[in-house]
Amino acid sequence: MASNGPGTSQEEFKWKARVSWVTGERSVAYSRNNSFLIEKQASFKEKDPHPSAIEYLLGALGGDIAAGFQTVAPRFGVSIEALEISLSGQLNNSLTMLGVIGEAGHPGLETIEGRIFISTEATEEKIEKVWQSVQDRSPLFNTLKRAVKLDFSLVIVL
Amino acid sequence: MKELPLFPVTTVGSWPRSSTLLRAQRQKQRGQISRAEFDKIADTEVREVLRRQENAEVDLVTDGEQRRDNFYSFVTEKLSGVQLMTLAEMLEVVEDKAGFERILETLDVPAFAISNPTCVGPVKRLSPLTLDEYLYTRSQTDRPIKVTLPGPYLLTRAMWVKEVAQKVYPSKEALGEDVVNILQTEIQELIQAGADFIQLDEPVLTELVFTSGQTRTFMCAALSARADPTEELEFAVSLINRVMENTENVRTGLHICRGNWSQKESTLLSGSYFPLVPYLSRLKVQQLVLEYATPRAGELAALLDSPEIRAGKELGLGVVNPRTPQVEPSEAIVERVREALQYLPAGKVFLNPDCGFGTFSNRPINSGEVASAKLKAMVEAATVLRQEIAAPAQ
Repeated sequence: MASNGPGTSQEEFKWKARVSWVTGERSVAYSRNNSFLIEKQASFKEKDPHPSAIEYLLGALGGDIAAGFQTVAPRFGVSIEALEISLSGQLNNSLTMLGVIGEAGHPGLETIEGRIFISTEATEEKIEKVWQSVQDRSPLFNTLKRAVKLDFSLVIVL
Repeated sequence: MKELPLFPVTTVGSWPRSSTLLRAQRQKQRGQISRAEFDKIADTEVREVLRRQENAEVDLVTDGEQRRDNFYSFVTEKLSGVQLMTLAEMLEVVEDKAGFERILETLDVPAFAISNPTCVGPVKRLSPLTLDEYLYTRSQTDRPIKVTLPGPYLLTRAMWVKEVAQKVYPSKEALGEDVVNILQTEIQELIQAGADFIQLDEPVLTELVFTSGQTRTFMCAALSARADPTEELEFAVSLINRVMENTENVRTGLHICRGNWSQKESTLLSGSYFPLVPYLSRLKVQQLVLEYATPRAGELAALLDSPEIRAGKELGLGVVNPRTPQVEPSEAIVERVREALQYLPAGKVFLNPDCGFGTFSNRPINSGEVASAKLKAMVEAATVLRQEIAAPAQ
């Protein structure tokens, strides 16, 4: 069995999380030396004590892309001064998640839209190349694009 | 004060920045070039903006706010106790993070691109806010000059990020006292130096009446939460009137708009001036510099049916939309002014765009070419109107 301890070969590496129910719709996830609280599957409320599962997914995708830019950009000789990604996702039919009888469709994400704002001196052409490479190498982008329509655009901010 | 003709044509202040200037601004912010090096580049740009206005035969010119990052946060480097905080930084300290996310989404901008001058210590004037800008402009043109200044309510509201500022001032009102003192000093120095027109920018006043029931809006200069709109408007009137004390020797104006951050009209605020009339009529300013080029601003009657406004105020009539690529035909501008003349005598009407052409330096809403063409259309209209007054049709 593979473990994610030191000395494990890359081919066998598995990432792990252990999620324990806490109370109500709140759970806690443990992963390596970290933990984070998850409140509900998806929330329609203005405020909650913790992010919902769906928000962690959006945040994770954004974090994956942001980290990807930091890894890839230097290889193209591009210096990034600031980077911010705005993400939003829409369920195919949120009523099915709520269990409304007779509703068609499914409660999965239909589309994830993203706006990637980058402040850089690099040309748009070069940034597009970086972005393509980020997509090619991103674990989450490649996982999700097989199941969800990913609609991302780049905005260069002077 | 220099003499102005009838129907003076002017701008609201800002002009799109060139890529050279934007680059220099970034370098200055990063400490890669000095203030003096930046000013040398900005001097060239100011001369170009003046040349464009002179070529268009604009009567009352501005320096295009070329040295500023935007119409209000530029004061940060001229004051102590104020720090530019990006929205990304503010997100860390404010409670209403979801409200901020709505702002960013509507503006379609990253949090790192919007900075707010935030009070972090006792606010004091380190150097003049605009006097240097005025003096340079004066050295480069013989035309009358308008100087634009962020108004006291705008500055107080923007600086008062409660979570940070209340460590320094017990209340927003206490911060307002220092802001008033700073602007009073600035205005008196501008008057001494011979400025022809001093315009206070207070766009946030519309935010108070057109976003009823919300504690926050997406207007950039109104990021901090507010109290009850009536209280806030009374607070604004008291601040503005104190700043405007002893300004008899200069023409003064107050500019209000409904946002100028996007070419998408649907994201900008909407509503007539009617709910503001009781407050505008009490302001100690000669002129109201207002939007009127889009239906979002409502009808002229909503403002000019008021006897107090008609008797006590000049009107800077917004006759061109600074955000559209189409240049308004001069005939349409003439028609709009004729409508205003049903309420006001000719000597009380100025012609201006609805707002600046480059309110935020990194988000210009038009090109210099289109802006120039719009100025020329206004001048053509003013010429027709002056001829009509000089030789009325039989």
